[in-house]
Amino acid sequence: MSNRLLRAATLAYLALLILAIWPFESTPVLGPLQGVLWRSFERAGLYPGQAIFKNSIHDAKLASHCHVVEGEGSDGTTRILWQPECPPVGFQLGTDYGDVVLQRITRSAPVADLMRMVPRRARQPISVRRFAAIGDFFCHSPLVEGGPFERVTLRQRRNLRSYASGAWLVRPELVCRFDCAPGRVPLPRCDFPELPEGSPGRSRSPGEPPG
Amino acid sequence: MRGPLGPTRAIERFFAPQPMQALVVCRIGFGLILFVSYAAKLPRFQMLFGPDGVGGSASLERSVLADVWTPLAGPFGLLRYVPSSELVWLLAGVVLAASLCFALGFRTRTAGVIALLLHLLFHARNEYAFYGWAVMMKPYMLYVILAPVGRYASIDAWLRRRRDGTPAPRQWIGPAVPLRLLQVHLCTMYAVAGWARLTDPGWLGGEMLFVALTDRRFARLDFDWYPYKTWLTAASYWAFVAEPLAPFLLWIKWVGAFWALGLMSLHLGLELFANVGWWQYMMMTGLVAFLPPDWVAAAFPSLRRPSS
Repeated sequence: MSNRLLRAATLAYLALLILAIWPFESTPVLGPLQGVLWRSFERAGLYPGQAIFKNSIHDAKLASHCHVVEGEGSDGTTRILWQPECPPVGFQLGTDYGDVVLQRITRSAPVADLMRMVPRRARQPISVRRFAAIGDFFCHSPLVEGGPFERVTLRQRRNLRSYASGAWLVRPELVCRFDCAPGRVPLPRCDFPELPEGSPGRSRSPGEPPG
Repeated sequence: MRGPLGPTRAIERFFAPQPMQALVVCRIGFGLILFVSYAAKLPRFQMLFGPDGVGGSASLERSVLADVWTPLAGPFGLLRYVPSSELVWLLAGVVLAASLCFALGFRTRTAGVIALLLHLLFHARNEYAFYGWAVMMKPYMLYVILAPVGRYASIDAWLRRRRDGTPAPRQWIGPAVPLRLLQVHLCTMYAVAGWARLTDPGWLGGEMLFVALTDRRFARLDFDWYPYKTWLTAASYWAFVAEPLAPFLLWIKWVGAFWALGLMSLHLGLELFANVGWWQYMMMTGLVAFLPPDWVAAAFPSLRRPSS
């Protein structure tokens, strides 16, 4: 009897798993049911699957994201807090997971929201709060050498390359400033400062590697 | 007298006891993957998971940044509120020890449960410290823990033989349920990844391998692939075909075994040129579940049955 129950439970579980991934999105009844099922599996830590390497084709291809973080002390002196080799050169065997976290959180933050964050909403989207957590870390954490700081600046340089020609394109630099005043949520103010004409950041020459 | 009807026969076959070699390989592989992945994070452990790290408890106390991480974490999100960096170090030591013990088969099931629980806690504390493999590792580990994998090629088995003089099992046979759960869940993984690509312009155009190899987030080599873009298109179409068909073809005798080998070669190729954490190793290990047990035993002599 218990053997039969185990088999029935296994088959039911597998049926639900398959139902959760079957492409039913557009059907009126099964579509929403599938959403509920998927979230239930997620909550239990049993993700049915992951869509990887999807939707990343644009006319310009992102070759790399480079980040530099600077801290400004109360005496006005600045200090580089984070500056990995970027783009990395040679063969990459391992991974700096600190940089993975910084890159992934920064990339997922909605730049448009960050640029028009005045007046600031009390409840920010989770991706913005995560980005603020990066600022908070560099502002206050004892793990960051030389802190705490008055202000932290994150510069993000994007190296883009054209699909068709392989040419390096304009690389706009995103600059986000976090105010480290105690008791405040360090939500950043971000902008794309104009790059001077003829600077490497505006280069369009085909073979030129990113700097 | 007539035999059982078709569906009944299929269910009987599905649940018939299965050779355990593949799950033993998965125990060793998954245990080692967890061990090495956490060991690689040790230089940044407090930044990733500690109270003074990104989105840690100190940050939550300082401001109103509650729920920085996924709202789905539920009870597994406890580490976000741990104020002690010493406790985080202790848990790091425990997850390393438990995953290594699971791989070696020492107190196998207990070690597996501890490793899995701590992995759930660390992943919920900071999911950005992992790539997507860490999500899929959870169910895969669970299925291997459910199987009696500690009985074979393990320290537990060796200790039992020394203590009781229990002879090594003549056949590595065990319940089918854990193996079937792992096999079906591997297929749902390939279905989700593969079917989403069928309408994706990047995959339809054969561009995606080129995309993966030239994005410096993943690319291992500082190499200009632009002149070889056409060659990469062929390899990209192999991935485009192999993964969506895997949920069907892996179940067909012999075709499935060779399809699994093809997928392993795909993962191996990706691992050589792209770094996405432990994805490729995890999937290659899991695919062993679709290989004939004799092949697995031939590849790993220590997993041969004592009688053979």
